Amino acid sequence: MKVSINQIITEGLRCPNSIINFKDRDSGAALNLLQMPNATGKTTIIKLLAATLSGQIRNWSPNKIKSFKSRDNIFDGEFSLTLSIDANNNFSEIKFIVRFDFEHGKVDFNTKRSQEAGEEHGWHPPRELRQYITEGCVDVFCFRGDKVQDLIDKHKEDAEVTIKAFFGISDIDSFLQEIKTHFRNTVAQGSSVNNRAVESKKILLGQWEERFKLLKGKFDDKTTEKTRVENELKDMKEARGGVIAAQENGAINQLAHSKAVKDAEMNVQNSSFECWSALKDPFLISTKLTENLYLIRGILEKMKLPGGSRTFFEEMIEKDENCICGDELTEAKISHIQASIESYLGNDEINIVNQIKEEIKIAHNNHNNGDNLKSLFSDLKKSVTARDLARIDELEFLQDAKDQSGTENREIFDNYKAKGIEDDQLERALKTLSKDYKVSAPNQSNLKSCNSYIAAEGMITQLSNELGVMSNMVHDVEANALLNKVILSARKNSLEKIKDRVKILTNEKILESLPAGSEIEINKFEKYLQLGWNGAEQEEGSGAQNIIVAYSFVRAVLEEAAIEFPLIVDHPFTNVDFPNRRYLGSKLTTLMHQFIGFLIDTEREGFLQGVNESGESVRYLSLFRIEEQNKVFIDKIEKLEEKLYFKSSNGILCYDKKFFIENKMGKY
Amino acid sequence: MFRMHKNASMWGKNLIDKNGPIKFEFDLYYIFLLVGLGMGRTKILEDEDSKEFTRWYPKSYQSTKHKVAMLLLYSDLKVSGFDISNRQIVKSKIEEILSSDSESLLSDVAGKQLNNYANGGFEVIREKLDVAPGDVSLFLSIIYDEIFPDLFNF
Repeated sequence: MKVSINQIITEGLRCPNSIINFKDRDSGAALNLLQMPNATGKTTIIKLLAATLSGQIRNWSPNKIKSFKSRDNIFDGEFSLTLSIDANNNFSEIKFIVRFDFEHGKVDFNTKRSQEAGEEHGWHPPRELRQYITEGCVDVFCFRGDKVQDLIDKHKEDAEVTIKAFFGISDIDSFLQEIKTHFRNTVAQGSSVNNRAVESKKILLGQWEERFKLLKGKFDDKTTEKTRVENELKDMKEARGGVIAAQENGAINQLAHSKAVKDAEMNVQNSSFECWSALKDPFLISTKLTENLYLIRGILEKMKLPGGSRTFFEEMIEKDENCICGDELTEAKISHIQASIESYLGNDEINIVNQIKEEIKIAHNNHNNGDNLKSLFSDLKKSVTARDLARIDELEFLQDAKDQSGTENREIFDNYKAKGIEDDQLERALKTLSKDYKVSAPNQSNLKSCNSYIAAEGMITQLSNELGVMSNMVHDVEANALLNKVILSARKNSLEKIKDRVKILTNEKILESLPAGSEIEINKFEKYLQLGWNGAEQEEGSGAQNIIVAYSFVRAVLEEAAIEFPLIVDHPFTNVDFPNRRYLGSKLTTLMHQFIGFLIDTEREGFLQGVNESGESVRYLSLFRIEEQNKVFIDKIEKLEEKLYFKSSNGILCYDKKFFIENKMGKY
Repeated sequence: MFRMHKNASMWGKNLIDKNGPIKFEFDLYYIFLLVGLGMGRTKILEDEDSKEFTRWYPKSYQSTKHKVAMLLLYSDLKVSGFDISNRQIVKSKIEEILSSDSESLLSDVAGKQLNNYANGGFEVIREKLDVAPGDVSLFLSIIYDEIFPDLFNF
């Protein structure tokens, strides 16, 4: 199945009123590039597009809905999205229409499946499309440029989350949750045993269920808040970047500082891992220790009797009358032999001691590694110093940039800082609320001491099992445990197999897309994509390589799911240098059947040359408001043929390539 | 078998990060233990002040357990002032400490003593650092500079 975006209509929203027509490879241009001045509503369009496609817009809060209202004093708005669907050469079109009531913070969602059927209330995508346009899946092909980094960041799980969303693994988690709930209800209500112990266990279970609901509710609220704050933080970072970019060499210097900090942080992390790994061999901590251990090893060598000789002597003194030498075994001789045997270690200890001896020998042979430890820690110290200096340099640069900005823009820097603190606080709160631990026995009746919904859920499972056993429902307890085990095992195996398959497919696509000799591939698919080459790990590739990896990953996921979607990317080429932007520009048209890129002015250079060199047809779109700041654009547009632009009450959308190339749209 | 003082657990919780080198409580315990054994410092760990965070060696430490047993043997001999070249003394200590019946290779008594060393190590570290730095790289650097030169100097 192939899905393309044909048209977006916006009216009365936070972006200019417009009708934007896109193309795809079949209709003449796989690549659609849309440029808009900052603060025109680029992010608004992307958010509306994603939430309309997934139907999630129906769940938006009144405040969120109201925040999409146009600056004009009107109380209605509309966003519509038209898709074309090619299902085995059966072509159809579907239109989602969202009408906004800003006064009451409500939306009315309608679907138009055909001209004949007209509008139907609700979100009604074709059944075969439904599973691929959930919120999690839409995030896969509709993303911000910085998601590229999130896929390969070892601290993040975006790559695995994508697989879980697209291939139904997340649904298994919901299914497991249903089973848990059913089991709890079964044991809580189905008990035929009535005694005080069972009753008090039921009460405790009920209390833990309440605690779980409370903590899970808090966790969900904080998660939503964190997403909002993260998005705001990204927007603010973007706004701050815009202010800096307007200063002389601002963008280049900012990129250089940010890269220096990131590289330095990566070095510290690698160095810390190396030091920690070296510490796992405690025999190499000190040369004196290694020497003394080797001395003890010599003594240990003498503590083992050869082969079965211990048994031989033990049996001899117990059963024989004469010694091995032929003399009679007197009491004195027996005592002497017994004492001698006892000065050697028994078989039980000797097996452990043999292993220890071997390890001491290895450590002694490698005692120079003590110097290695010294050198590793020296490197760690150097990398920590370098990181701290890079951070200071960046802070000084940002302070200078702030000082050079106007009063209004200085606020952007302060707001960003404050939002960063808010984000950290939320991060900590989420960590506490989702800490995975087992509630200790003394705290099982002290519910308020538990602040993690995961721990609370663990208590519910434990109490349900205990209650089941007490209520003569052992069979149910065992069946529940077995069912969980089977499902979890199937889930794990499926996830691993899909990840393996997607890894292979992604690597094939990387190979197709990167120039010959580019040494980058996915080495391992953990929760993130571990890059490397020929088994050697690499933290990340160049900016362009990372983008190719991310796009190849998305293509592989879609191919494995046997579906094609447009790739919609905000800031597709941030952090890519000039020559690589040019290379990407020449390649992009070959990657997807439809690519919609929301470009900012700093990304154009190099990329547009590359696109031009590809010789492919491209849809160029420029969208801006009709307002004083854009007078220069408006004057130029009015000299163009009317068919080349669409003018609404408050905005202009231009399809002219020449206009796009000649006019950069960024910060006012 | 592995127990840690509640204060030690609280003190080090910010150092634990599943994406960093110190991923779980055993990693924290291990660094405390190295310092305790290396300084020959024990502090009795009472059950009521501590909790058992794991019964067995984690998978990633399976290959270290023989070494840990040996270091316990060595430090205990040294701290008690015994001559490590005296075969009888070494043998008797081995019999006291090692147990092939135990997954940790340690007897019950030795297991408790191991926890006492880890607790002693925590005290040594806390004397240098009232509060654990949130940054693991900094923590490792400080430990290496300030404490490692004194380890196993007996």
